[in-house]
Amino acid sequence: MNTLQSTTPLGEAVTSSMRKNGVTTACYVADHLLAAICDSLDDAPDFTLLPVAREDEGLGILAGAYLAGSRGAMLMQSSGFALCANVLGSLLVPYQIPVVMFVGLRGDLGEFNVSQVSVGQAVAPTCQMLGIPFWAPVTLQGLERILDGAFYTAFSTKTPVCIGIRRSVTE
Amino acid sequence: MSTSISYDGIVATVRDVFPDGLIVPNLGTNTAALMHNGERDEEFYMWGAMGMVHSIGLGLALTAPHRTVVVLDGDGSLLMGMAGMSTIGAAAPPNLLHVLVDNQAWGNTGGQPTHTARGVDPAIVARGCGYRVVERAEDEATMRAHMEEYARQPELTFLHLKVGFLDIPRPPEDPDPIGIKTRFMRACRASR
Repeated sequence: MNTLQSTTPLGEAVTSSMRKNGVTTACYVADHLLAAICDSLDDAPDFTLLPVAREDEGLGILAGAYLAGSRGAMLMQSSGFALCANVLGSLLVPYQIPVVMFVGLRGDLGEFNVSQVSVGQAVAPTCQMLGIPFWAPVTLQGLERILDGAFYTAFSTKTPVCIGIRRSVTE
Repeated sequence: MSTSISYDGIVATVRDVFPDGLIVPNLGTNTAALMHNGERDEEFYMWGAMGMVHSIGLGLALTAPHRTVVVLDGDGSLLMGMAGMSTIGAAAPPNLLHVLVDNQAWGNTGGQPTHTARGVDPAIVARGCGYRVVERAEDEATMRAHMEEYARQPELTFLHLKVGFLDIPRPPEDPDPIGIKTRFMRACRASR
């Protein structure tokens, strides 16, 4: 528990939108771009926050949670998103199981690690090829404007959606 | 002397011991075995997402703690999704029974041997991951006894079934994922 971190605008915006849209479960594999969101959810007693070993596994868990009546979000880094193509394309999409994915976008402006570039740049086209809506606002204000719509669209259309979190949103 | 374990025997025993249980079979042989014996709303038939079935079971078990969740996994699937066992052990929901139907082969692709044919032992992995109870069975009477024991005293359990490779059921065609999901969600909502 860290009450200072829980009050970051990014964490507060995402937690508030999840609450408004009936999301009660989140899985994550740790990523520093998403740490504020994890801290905020960890501090909120009305959320179940579950760390997982692999990102595709998290989507499997959230699929099961949805079948039993709980709406979920998955927090992961772009490198982990690259593990998820099959569970998205062969489970969530064909069975119409919605999950909101928050993907920390490495390989973007200011990246230092060449091993993050290709896979980070692959997130948007991977979503496009799978027919998964993708948004990656550049500012926190931009993110705040799309959050409610992203949750609403995911659960009303029963479609997984993806929100890319750029470094510029966290600063 | 009890008979060796068959797919039809697994289906009949699971349905008999857990009539209200939520059953999640991995894609391939376990989904085929259940569908071959008549479809039920309480069963979530998988047509993709190899390696994910026990993670789906975990999500179900945590979200519906009043329901028994029975995962019917395969050796190829479990080897692919082994990381998920660690999350199950860490969460340790007592209402999850993880059954491994181990035919030591990739059953749907011609029977190529998996690592369990070479001595890799997922039951030891389950113990290391923190499953509370780990049991084995190679005949139907022992399988039933372990399932009935779980039903009497539910704790996170891994049940390793060794089966032969000869009796693989034919998978049905024309899967209907949205229908499968819709019926299963209705069964999840039903009060028990």
